[in-house]
Order: sequence, then structure tokens, then C-alpha cells
Amino acid sequence: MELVSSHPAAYDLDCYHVQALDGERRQEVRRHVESCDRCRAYLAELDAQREALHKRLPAQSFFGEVGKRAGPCAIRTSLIPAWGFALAGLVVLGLLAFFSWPAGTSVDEVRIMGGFQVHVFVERGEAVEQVVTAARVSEGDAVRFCLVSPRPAYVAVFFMEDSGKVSWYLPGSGSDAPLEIAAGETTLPASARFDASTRNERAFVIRSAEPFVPGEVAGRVQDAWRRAGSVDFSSADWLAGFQEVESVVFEKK
Amino acid sequence: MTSPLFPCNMALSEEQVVAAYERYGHLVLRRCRFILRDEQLAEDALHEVFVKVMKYGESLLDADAPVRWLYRVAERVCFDQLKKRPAKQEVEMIEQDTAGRGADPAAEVSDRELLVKFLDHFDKKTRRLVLLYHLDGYSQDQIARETGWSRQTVHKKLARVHEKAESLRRSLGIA
Repeated sequence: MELVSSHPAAYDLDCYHVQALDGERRQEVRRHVESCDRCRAYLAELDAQREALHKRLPAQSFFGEVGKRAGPCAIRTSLIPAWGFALAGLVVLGLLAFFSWPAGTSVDEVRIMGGFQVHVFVERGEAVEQVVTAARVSEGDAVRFCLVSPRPAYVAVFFMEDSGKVSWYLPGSGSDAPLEIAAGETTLPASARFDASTRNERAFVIRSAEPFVPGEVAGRVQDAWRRAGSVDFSSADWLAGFQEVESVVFEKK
Repeated sequence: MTSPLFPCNMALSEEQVVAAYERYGHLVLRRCRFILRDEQLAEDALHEVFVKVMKYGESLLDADAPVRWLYRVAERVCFDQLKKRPAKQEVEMIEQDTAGRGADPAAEVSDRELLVKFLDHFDKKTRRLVLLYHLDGYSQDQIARETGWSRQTVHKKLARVHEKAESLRRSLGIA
């Protein structure tokens, strides 16, 4: 027999079903549900719907489909949120400034292009390391970029293997427009994670006051590398003609 | 160089998106299905909702009421889809639904069904009112608290909505 005067709202039952009700209200709903066939049937229906959905659309394949729709760029699988990287970056910068500046460290500690600064960080396990010109990395390491611009600018970032193969970080493949950033500090969204490839790579940050076609700049960089012949990939000499491009090398362990 | 390509402006990690889908996905799908009345479109809307979760989901993690947050996103996605659906198709869908009911008096089209079918005929606030009352089962007092309207305003608006349902019913010749 049902001894209830009023049922919880369907919304409350929905929240109860996914443990999204707070303590007191949760207890009220729980007490009601224990004595109400109708509400128990409603919750059983939600259980069945959840089961059916997960059977038809398992989480991983659903995630893959959602990712495709969201657009291309580099995956972030770390649980460290974007602000975590930015905060870690600021801490690292602060420590560098605190310990290094009095010792007369050169301005190379911070990369500068006409007041535009590029800070590159590699996340390795729990540790975050700032990259100045080169870093040794291995599979699973993640890289993240923080830009500081004195004025609004357009930017794009891509990676090139020593084979000349380009992969895009920002904007994603197929996009012909750079990212517009405001004056100040911008931590680029998402991080790229290195795979098992043993090819050395160079990350390029293109920056301009005017809109540009990222693929065109990447094409010129590729051509320059092909023309460079037997020059060492880790040397930046072959990039001397690219004023609008800054880069760092990642050597694979 | 990297593992599969993914959105640049992804706010949540894969683990967080997957966890949100496993926990809330079926509720979101249910709501989309209710508004769109089409399994394929509802699944499509479910994907779109989680694209938004992926991009802007940081506020979902902070939300006091994550289910409400997701429902609002789902409603926006579904209403956008409804806008794309021609009004003629809406009428055809209602006619198809009612044709299958035969003379069964218990199968008359309820106000709730009719209103939900014609949600896109209402303004944004009224749509929420319809969903809160007819789908979420809120009382008029609860709606007043949720929307910030007085109870009297809620009552008047609901009365107007039901007049509209009656008018739709008459114009479509539905029992």
C-alpha cells in the first residue's frame, strides 16, 4: 500500500538517481522512495535506460565521437586542469626569476620576440619543467605553451619531425586561421602528448600582428628544412630567416 | 607526434568527460528524447551536449546542481534543433502520433504531449515553464522559486499555456 501524500518532483528523482542531491533532501527522497512503488518504478526505469544507453553507446566510443565533433587539436588526457599548468608555469617562472636573475642569467631564460614571450613547459609525471631551447622527452610526456604578448596578436603552433612531417597543435588540421589572443598572458588550451615515435621534433610558435595563413608559414619552414641538407636539426641556424617564428627542440630519449 | 587529435579548447580531461557521460548521459538523452521525440535526433543532441561539456564543462564541475546545468544545455541544443525542423513536419508528426491511437479514449493527446510537441512555439521562459511543470514535475511553488516569478505569475502563465494547448488542439482537430 502506498502511504505517501506527495511524490518528489521528477527532477529530484533524477538527481537522487545520480547521487546529485544534498544530504537532507536526499534523506527525504530516500524515505519516500522506500515506501512508494511509483517512484521506485520511475528509478528502475532510469536504471534500465542507463544500462541500455551504455550497452548501445559505450563510454569510450561515445567519447571518440564527441571528440570528432568538437574539432581537431591535441588530446589532453591528464587530470591536471588548464589552470594547473598555468599555475605550475608561474611558480616555475617565479622560482627561476628569484634564483637566476641576481646571478646575471641571460634573457634567454624567457624567449622574447619583440616583447612577445613564449614559455614552453613539459609535464613529466608529477613534475613540470620549463623548456628554454631544447628538452629531452619520452613517450607520455606532455607539452604546453604559455604566451605573453604586449598587444593583441595572432598565433599558431605546429610541430615538425626531423623527417619534415608537420602535425598541428593550434589551430587544428584543416583550419586556415590562426588563434587571436589578447594582450597579456595566454595559456594555450590543451596540451600535446608525445607518442612512441623516436623522431626528434621541433615545436614552432608563429606570431604576427596581422592575420596569416598558418599552413603557408609551416610550408616555408618545411621547405627551409629540406633545403638545409645535412644541417643538425637541433641547431636553429637554418631558421635564421624566420623572424615571426620561435621554436624549441624535443629530443626523444 | 601526439595521440589522437582533440579539441584545443577542451575544458575537461577524457576521464572527466567519460565520468560525466556515465553518470548523467542517460538523463540527458531522456530529456532530449522527450523534447525531440526522435531517437536519432535525441542521440545527436546527446553528442552535442557533451561537446559543450567538453568545451565548457569546468562550470559543470563547479555547479551546485549539475543535473540542472546539463538539462539547460540539453534544452538549448534541442530547441536549436527544433528551430531547424519545419513547422509542417511538426504537424505531420502529431498527425502520425494521433492516427495510431484509434478510438482508444485513454490514448487522447494530453496537454503535456501537445505542449511539448509545440515547445518551439513558445518563448524561452515559457518553454522552461512547460518543462519544469510537465517534465520535471515541479509544483507551482517550486517553479516560482526556480524562476523568481511570484506564484501568482506562475499560475497565470500556466493557465495561458494551457489555453494555447486547447487552441492548438482545436486547430489541429485533435481529441
